[in-house]
Order: sequence, then structure tokens, then C-alpha cells
Amino acid sequence: MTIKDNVQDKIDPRVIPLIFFLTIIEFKLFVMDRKVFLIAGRDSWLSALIGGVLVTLGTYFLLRLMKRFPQQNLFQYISQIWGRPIAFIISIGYFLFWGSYLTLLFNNTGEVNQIFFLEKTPILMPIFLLALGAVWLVAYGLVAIIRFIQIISPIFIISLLLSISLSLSQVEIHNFFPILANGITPVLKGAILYTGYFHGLEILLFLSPFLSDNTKIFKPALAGIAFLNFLAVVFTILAIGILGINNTNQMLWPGFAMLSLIEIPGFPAERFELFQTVPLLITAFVAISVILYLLSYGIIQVFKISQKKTVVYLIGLLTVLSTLLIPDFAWCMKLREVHIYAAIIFIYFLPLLTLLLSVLREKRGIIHEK
Amino acid sequence: MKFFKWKKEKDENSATGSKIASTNPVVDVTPRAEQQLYRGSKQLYSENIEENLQSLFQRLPDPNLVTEEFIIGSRSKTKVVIAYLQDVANTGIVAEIKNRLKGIKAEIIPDTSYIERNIQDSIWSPFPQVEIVSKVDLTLTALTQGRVAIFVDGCPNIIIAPTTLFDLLDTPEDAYRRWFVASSFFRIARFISFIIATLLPSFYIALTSFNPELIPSALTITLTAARENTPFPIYIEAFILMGIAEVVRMVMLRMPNTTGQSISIFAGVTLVLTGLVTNIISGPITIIVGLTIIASFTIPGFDLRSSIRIIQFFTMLMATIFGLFGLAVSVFYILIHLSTLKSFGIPYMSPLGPIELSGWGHTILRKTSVDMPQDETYKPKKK
Repeated sequence: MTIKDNVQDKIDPRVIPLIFFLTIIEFKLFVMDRKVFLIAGRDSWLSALIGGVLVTLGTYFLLRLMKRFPQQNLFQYISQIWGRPIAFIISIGYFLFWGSYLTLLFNNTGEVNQIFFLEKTPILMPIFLLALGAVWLVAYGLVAIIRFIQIISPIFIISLLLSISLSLSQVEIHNFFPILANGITPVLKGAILYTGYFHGLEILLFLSPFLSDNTKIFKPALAGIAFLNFLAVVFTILAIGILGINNTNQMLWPGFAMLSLIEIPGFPAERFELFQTVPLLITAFVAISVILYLLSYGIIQVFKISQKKTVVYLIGLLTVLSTLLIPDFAWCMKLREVHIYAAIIFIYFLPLLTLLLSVLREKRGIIHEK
Repeated sequence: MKFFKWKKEKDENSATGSKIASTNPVVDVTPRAEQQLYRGSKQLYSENIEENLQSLFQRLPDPNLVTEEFIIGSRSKTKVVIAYLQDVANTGIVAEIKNRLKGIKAEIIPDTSYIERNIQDSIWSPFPQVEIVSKVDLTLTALTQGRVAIFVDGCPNIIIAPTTLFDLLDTPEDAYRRWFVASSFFRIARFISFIIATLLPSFYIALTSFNPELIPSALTITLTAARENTPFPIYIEAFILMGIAEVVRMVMLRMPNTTGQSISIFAGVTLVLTGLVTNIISGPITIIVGLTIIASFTIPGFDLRSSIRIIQFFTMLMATIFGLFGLAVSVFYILIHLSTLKSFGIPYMSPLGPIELSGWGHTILRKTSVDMPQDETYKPKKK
């Protein structure tokens, strides 16, 4: 009789909305969906609305795939569906996708730190400090990461709601008119691009084996993604409503510029918006930890490596060093825009194909009796 | 004083343990003034294990209350007894505690701390992973939660395992106060004090040294004026004053009661006043350090309080080097440690991480209930 037999360390499906919030938002709170703004202009909020429906639909298909293989993760069942050689190529694709995303996340964090906090500190130093924490957390596995998310989420949610409530009064309705001035095509293009901003959604495909109850995942997951979409629409509306589309398109950090306009009566701090970098740091750190987990444990699983901690530390170090390959911040932003297209392939397209193929080939996961 | 009779039964599942059941438990233990209590029992444990067990049986004459005896210490042969409610306590946790007790290879057991450091999950963690109590009523509530009490002969303190951070921040008044809203209010106030005690000096250092633009203008002018003639940077002032505060606190602990208090108060006041008058330290940092020390005394447990003092210095160091970013990273590190720490398989930050709403009623808040609320934190057996 051991503790593990009696006290199972599992994730309650009801915390999935929190996982989504802290994993997916990362820098989008400040950077926002810039590419969508450029394409859809002042109708970006419509793109977010339509894109939100597409993301919810995508989430639904991910959940269907998850339900077919309730006790396995993506890497465990793709070889059954695609065959070993193709499954291996797909896995390598995912590793490159996550590896590059992690590098961009680290680079973004370092740049943000240099702009807002430590101007003279070398960019590698803050990246290294965050990587150290992420590696430490990831070494304990996914359940520990989810526990961390649950503990830190109140700080994030309070900061976010405070920002939204204080910004609402600044919205100017005339910034939204005329609606659909350039027709529906840019809105639809923007909607498709919008779905690519949901990096981290693929964590759903790896949660299954850790959940306390696989049957109760649909409601919280769909509710979580719907609420996240609602927040995205609200932030898009706030950006256009407060800054106007021309200013939004010109700014590097429209979200940050929007928050800098916040005024609290009787609070004479000149740069109140700096306090809002707290949720940014939290979400960036969580996103880094989750992606580092997916990458390292994916490699461990595919290549059947027993030295788990060594792999986590090595991947952490390699991705930190790979930030040196990005020449400057402009490049980082450009690469992030390109990464949106990769996200559409790896988050929606490949899992959807996997689901279709599993239905056609009548493949289902093995369910072990508890 | 009457002593109760023991009826011992050999435990079939345990190689060294033996089950003990009581008959007719009656005991009279003289109360000692150890802490200020406004409400609730003032009965404290004595240094005699048999008296302590009698007290427990007297307050909880439940046939499901099981005690098992272990002899630990190759020289001292110290009697160690675990007590739990067999219809409530999780079988896996009880088995794990017994295994860890059996694994202790000490020569002598002069105090419960010898047991504690041998059975805790992490020796490197600054956070205590078991709760130390000296009151009988606290043992009762712990047992009904599904936890295990460990009695050590010759020690007036009882180990309660497993534990969570929220149980360590709990005080008896929280449960005994009539109005649940007041209890919840004071609990939240204690959590805020806990955060102030951990982070206030570092937050002050980060703001004043790296991001003064975040401080309201009027306050910035006042702070600058107060620091006009002081020779040291803010972080040096903070470290010096926090160091002095620690020395004064150590004097209070080491010296006999009245003398120690007089000397520490005199020394503290003299040092601070002289520092202020000679402009070696500034006024604002004195306020910050004073507030931090006061806040730290709202933390109920001695071990937890001591750990927070060490953590204060860590966060101060990070804020000194990396400003607000360093402070945020140090908070991440603390939270990473807390989210990975466990006490006998129970996550240390439960019921916040993992979120278990059933446990919020008597950990994070206090719900209005006529009964002791049952929660899932310690994975009790289903009734």
C-alpha cells in the first residue's frame, strides 16, 4: 500500500479554462493580433468574432480526437493511424514547430524586459533566469505545471479584469465606422489568420492521460475557449475603439499603448501600465513552461530516452542559446507572423486529418481498466 | 492525577507497531501560558506521552480512534505513537507515515523535530511539511480531517501530518469565532500579511531603485527628500536594517523573558533613533522594515515564520540585482517550489493548487457551518 495507490495526482477537467488562458495569451495581450489588424483594418473585431467560431470548431475536433484515444497522447497514437514512418516525420515537424516557437517566446521575453525593466542588462540574462524556472517546473511534469497555473491564476485574472474595466470608458464608437468598408474578404482572411494566434491549444492532445475524468472535458474546454475568444474580441474592440485603426497599425505594442491611457482617479503614478506587465510576465512564463514540456517530453517519448531531466535541461539550454540566432526584435516579430501559418497547420490541420483518418481506418485508443 | 489503563493489541500489519486502545480515560493536565487565546480550550499537552494520549482519548472517545506504538532510537528507545481515525484517514497516507517512521535510524529522539526531519518529503524546502501543535483541540480537528497525529515521549509538541500551507496559516480563533465573515476577513488579512512579510522590502527596493516612475509623484518627492543626506543606497539600508531586526529578534528569543524583551526593545529603539538622527538610515526604510516585521508576526507557526525571514532576503537580493523583473522571477521560483512540494502525497498548496472548492470552506475562507466541514484535501475515506 503506497500513497500513489490512494492519492492520485490527476488534473480536474474543470481547470482547463485556466490552462487555456495562461498558455495561449502570452504576449498577445500587448502585441495583439497585429497581422489581423493590418488585413481587416477597423473590421478586425468582426474577424475575431468569426475567427472565434473557427477556433471553437477546431477545439471541438481536437476534443473528438482526444475522446477516441482517452488514455494516450498524440505521439502515442499517431503511429497507429499514420504508420510509423509518417508518424515520425509528423513528430519531427511538431518538434521544429515548438522549438522555433519557444525560441521566439524567449526572445520576446528578453526584449520586453529590456524595453520595460532592465535597459542595460544583456538580453540573455533575463531569458536565462526564466528558463531556469521553466526547466525546474517542467522537470516535475505536466501536473506540477497545471498546479502552478492554478496557484498563479488569481493574480493574472485580477490584473486582466482591472485593465479591461479601466479601459472601457476610453472607447470611442466612431472609430468603428464605416463597417465593412473594404468588403467581407479581408474580414474572412483576418478570421483565418486569427485562428493561428492560438498557440498552445494543442496541449489538449497531451492532457488526456493526466485527467481525473476524461468524460467531463467537453464542457469546460469549450467554455474556456469561448471565453478566451470573448476576451480577444473585447481587447480588439478596445484597441480599435481607443487608439483608432491607424494608430493601432503603426504601433509595435498596441495593447501596451492602450493600457498606458488608463487613468485611475487619485492615483498619480505616471506609468501605471507598467503594473500590467505582471500578467504579461506570468503568461509568458506559463507559455514557455508548457511549450518546453511538450517539446522535451515529446522528444523523450518518440526517441524513448530514459534520462528525462537531462533532456529537459538540455532542451532548455539549446532554446535559450538559439535566441542568439535572431538578429533583432524586428526579425523576431516577423518570424512570429510567419509562425501563425505553421500554427494553423500543426494545431488544426494535422489533428483534423488525424481524426478523419482514425475514423476512416476505425482506429480507437486502448482503454485500460482502472 | 489519574492515569488510564492501557490495553495493547499486536498490530498484524505492522512489524514494529502495536495497536493501543483506551479504557476509561481521565486526565488533568495543567495549562501553560504559551500563546494568547481569546476563545477555545487552553489545555496543552504535557511532556508525558501517556498523559497526552489520555487527553486525546478523553476528548475523542471514538472506537475508530486507533493508536499504534513504535520504539525509535537505538539508544533512547523512545516511545512514538501515531493516532488516526481509521474510518477517515487515507490508508495510503497512514501506511506511508508508518513506513517512514520505521525507516528512522537515529540513536536518540530528544524532540519531535528529529522525527519531523526524518519523515518530511523535502529536506531542502524552507517550508515545514508537517504541522506542530501543542493543544488537544487542534489534534481533534486534524484527526477528523483525516490527518495523523504523531506523539513522541518527552515532548509537549505533537506532529500532525500531512499538512498544507493554508493549514499552517490557520489559527484556532478562525474556527472558534462566532461570525464566519469575520473569520474569513481575518484569514484574508493574514494571507495579505504573509505576502507583505515576504515581498514588501524587495518591492520597495525594486520600485525606488529601478522604477521610481511607478510611485506617485508626491510620494517620490517625500521619499527623495527623506533620503537626501543618507550615505548608502536604498538596498544597503534595507539589508542593514533587516539584519538589525533579525539580531534583535534573536536576542528576544535567547535571553530570559523580561530581561530579553527589555534589552531588545532598548537596543532596537536606540539603534533606529540614532540611525535616523545621524542620517545613516532614512525614515521610509524604517517604516518598510517595521511593517514587514509586524506582518511577519501574523504568521502563526514558528518554523514558517523563520522560513519567511530567509525568503525575504532572497527576494530582496533578486530585487536589488534585477529590479521588478527580479522580484517577479523570485515569486515565480517560490511558487514553482510550492507547486511541486508535497506533504505525504498531498499537494502543499491544496486546495488552491490543485483547486478543490470543497476545501475552501475551512482553509482559504471559513464557511458558515454548524458542523466541522468535511473536505477532500487530505483524501479521506468516503463515508
